[in-house]
Amino acid sequence: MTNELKELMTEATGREAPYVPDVDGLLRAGRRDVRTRRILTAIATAAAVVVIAGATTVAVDARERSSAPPAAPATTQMARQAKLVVPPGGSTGLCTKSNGDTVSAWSWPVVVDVRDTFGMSVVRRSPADPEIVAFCTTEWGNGAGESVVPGGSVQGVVLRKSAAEGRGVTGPASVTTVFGVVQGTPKVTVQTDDGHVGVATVKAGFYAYRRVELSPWPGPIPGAVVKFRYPGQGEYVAARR
Amino acid sequence: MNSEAESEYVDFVTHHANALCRTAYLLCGDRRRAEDATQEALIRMYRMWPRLQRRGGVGAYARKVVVCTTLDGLRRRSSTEVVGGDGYFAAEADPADPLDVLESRIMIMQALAELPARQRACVVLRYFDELSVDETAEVLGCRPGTVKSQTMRALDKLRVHPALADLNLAGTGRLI
Repeated sequence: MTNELKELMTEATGREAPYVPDVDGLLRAGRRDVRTRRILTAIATAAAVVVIAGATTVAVDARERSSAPPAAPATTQMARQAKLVVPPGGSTGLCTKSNGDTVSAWSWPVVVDVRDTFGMSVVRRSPADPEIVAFCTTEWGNGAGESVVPGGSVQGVVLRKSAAEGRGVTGPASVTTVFGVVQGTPKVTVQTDDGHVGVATVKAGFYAYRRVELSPWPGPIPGAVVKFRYPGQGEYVAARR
Repeated sequence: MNSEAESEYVDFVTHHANALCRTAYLLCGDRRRAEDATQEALIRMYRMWPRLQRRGGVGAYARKVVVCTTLDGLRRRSSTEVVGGDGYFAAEADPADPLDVLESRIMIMQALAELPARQRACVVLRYFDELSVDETAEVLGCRPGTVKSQTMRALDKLRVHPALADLNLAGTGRLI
């Protein structure tokens, strides 16, 4: 029967006119199909590259976050490289010039200093060159293991930030130090980012101010508004950053 | 595709398109649809042509694509359409006319149309294209055992089909 089937099917198809394909049409359609597929492949490849690059960026970012404290804003990166030294008294501390460069100044004479339970902020003057001034901050022995100090001065204001841990503090806390130069002996007030306004210590042409804030460090870039008030005159904003 | 490969593709199309179309026609029972399926398969082959040339087996691949394309087309329309259409074999055969024998043989299309697509494909590939069981299995993407069983069932149905019974084909015993 298989031969019969073969004959039947052959005759059935033989009744139809032979199929003559439109070769030119096939070639055109095939070329168009190939072009389309190439374009789609290129788009898919580009999309895959974008996705992989994005995923890699996210993964690297997550890895960096997991191995380091929360990322500080970019402006702190230069200061982050500053190496902490141990000043007399067993605490960790750092002295820098107004441009953020570190300087070994723990033995220099003190011009003005303020302190609290978490450390102190000191302006020191070089005995060799009185024009050179160092701004030093310390964290006491059980303070944070790492201090991050924003870099150089802005509008004459040197800002320093250090962590405040231990000593009864249960939540995130940090210390904002504000240094600056002043003519005469006006009343200098400093408003920190938490809205608190305090009075700075003024001496020998410099002022220094420390404020313990309930915010973590590393954390947001600190800011301050410094106002001067000379005797018999109104208060005005001397600097802001 | 370079011009040489394209020339070979054209040569292949010129010589094999009709055979592929006949296979498709037996599978779907519709000339227009068979031509569409063949054309679609040939366009697919154009895309694959350089690879097919390197790998070999162009003819087998072409048949496979045609069968798949045709069966896919039937599957898409199976819910609304009967293979071959209602008026496909509407003409009545006249027993007094010797040409009726020929007309009756055309009834094979009706018999094929009543088979399930897979069984019809097995019959066409095995007995029209004269593929072996393994080759048929390769084309259909199934195991040889499946081809054997499907072919057996198809032939059993064809043997008792009235159109073929008139041709005295049913008494030939085992068909495979």
